Amino acid sequence: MTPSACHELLPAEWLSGVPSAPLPDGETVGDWIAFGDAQTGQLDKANGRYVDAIGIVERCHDRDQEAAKRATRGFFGRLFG
Amino acid sequence: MTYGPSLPLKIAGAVVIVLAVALILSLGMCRDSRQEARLRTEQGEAATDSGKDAVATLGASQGKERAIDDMTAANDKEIRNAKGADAAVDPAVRDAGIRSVCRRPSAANDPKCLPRAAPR
Repeated sequence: MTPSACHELLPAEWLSGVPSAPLPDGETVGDWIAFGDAQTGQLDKANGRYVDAIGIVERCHDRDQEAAKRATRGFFGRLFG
Repeated sequence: MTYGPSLPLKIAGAVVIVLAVALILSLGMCRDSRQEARLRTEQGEAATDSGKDAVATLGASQGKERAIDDMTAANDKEIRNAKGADAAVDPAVRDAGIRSVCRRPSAANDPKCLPRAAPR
């Protein structure tokens, strides 16, 4: 895969981001505290996607570089590599 | 009287030199095309491995997000069962809270944030 195509491995829906937790009716203290926790869960999802996306693209670039190195090895490099 | 190499010998020598140059050039071109073929093969294998890696990573990501949702549901239950959870919130601060969250782009599609149609 060409380095410019590595980002195409990521799902299109990730571009839309992780939505906010649903707003509560907000009538009680419990409503708002539960909303705060749910919102933190959505933040965890967003952080997870960021780390996973970076990992997918970085590993893809590394494989491309290794492929180019292997392809340009000389006879003895291929023999003993 | 002696002379240099005969004409046929000179022609044969020139032909040998031309053939040698042609052989060296063609070996160089063969090496380039073999290297290109190796590069295509290696890049193809790298692309396949990257695809598999992406599928595995995305599968794991979905599993992690399901686990997050499960934790949210469990935490919600614990919070609402805690003492004081039923305490009423003043409507003014409730409305301010909803307005604040609705200013965030990530909440743009929440039904409570969508503009209400004007009454007819």
